[in-house]
Amino acid sequence: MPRHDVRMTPAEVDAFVQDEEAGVLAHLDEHGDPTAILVGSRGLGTGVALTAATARPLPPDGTQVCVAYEREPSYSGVRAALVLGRLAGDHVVVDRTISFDFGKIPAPVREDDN
Amino acid sequence: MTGAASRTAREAQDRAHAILQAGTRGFLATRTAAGAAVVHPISVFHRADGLWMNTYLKSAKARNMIRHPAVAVVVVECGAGAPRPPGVLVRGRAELLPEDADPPPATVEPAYLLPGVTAPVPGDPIWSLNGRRRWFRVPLTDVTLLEATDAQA
Repeated sequence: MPRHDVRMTPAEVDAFVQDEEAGVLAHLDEHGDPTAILVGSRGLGTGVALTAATARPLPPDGTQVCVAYEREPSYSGVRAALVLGRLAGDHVVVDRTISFDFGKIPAPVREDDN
Repeated sequence: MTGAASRTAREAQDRAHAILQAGTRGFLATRTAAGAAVVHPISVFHRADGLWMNTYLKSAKARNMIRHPAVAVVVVECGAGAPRPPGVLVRGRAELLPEDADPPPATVEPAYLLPGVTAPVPGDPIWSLNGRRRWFRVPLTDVTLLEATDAQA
């Protein structure tokens, strides 16, 4: 079965993340184990600003974080972007992103379509 | 802890477990080989003995969990849109289950399933793909309710 490239383009990732108002932030705790919180998110043109969505605060400045943004209207329509970087105040200084858009997988061709 | 505080804590745990039973939309935070945190969306299934998650053994998620089993999982009850409170944080050690492991039947059917995903049925080969996919289980020993800030006032 052919493998399809489901990555979003950098422009698609930017547009997707800028539109999202919430995500899940992960970081390592003082023992080096992962933990996560729900965050609010606001696009800033060149990055994102975050707010804690629950009583659990954002981690301290300089913490390496990963924020997951996802929309899942259906399994075949899942779009997600992971933003990896460091916190500077309430901003994420982005190192890199990981993304996927299952909508880029072509629908199977049925025999009746030929 | 006072009686009122104890009751509040118990109510929070009850609410957290209700969200876990209803929701299947999870976000799995793991530690990478480079020593950073990464978080991936994943479908989760609540069972009496823990949260069950299924993924390709070759995936980054699986490799991270095998290397460093301490994980965190955020489960939200909403679907489709951005993940928002209320949610639940589960922390614990992810256990890689044997190839023939199947999650036991759910005691409560989830209220939300991603369209195109079916709840696991014991013996269904779509969850193993000849051993390429495997189940991981995280015990429900460290469970925290995540409520919107304004819901706690």
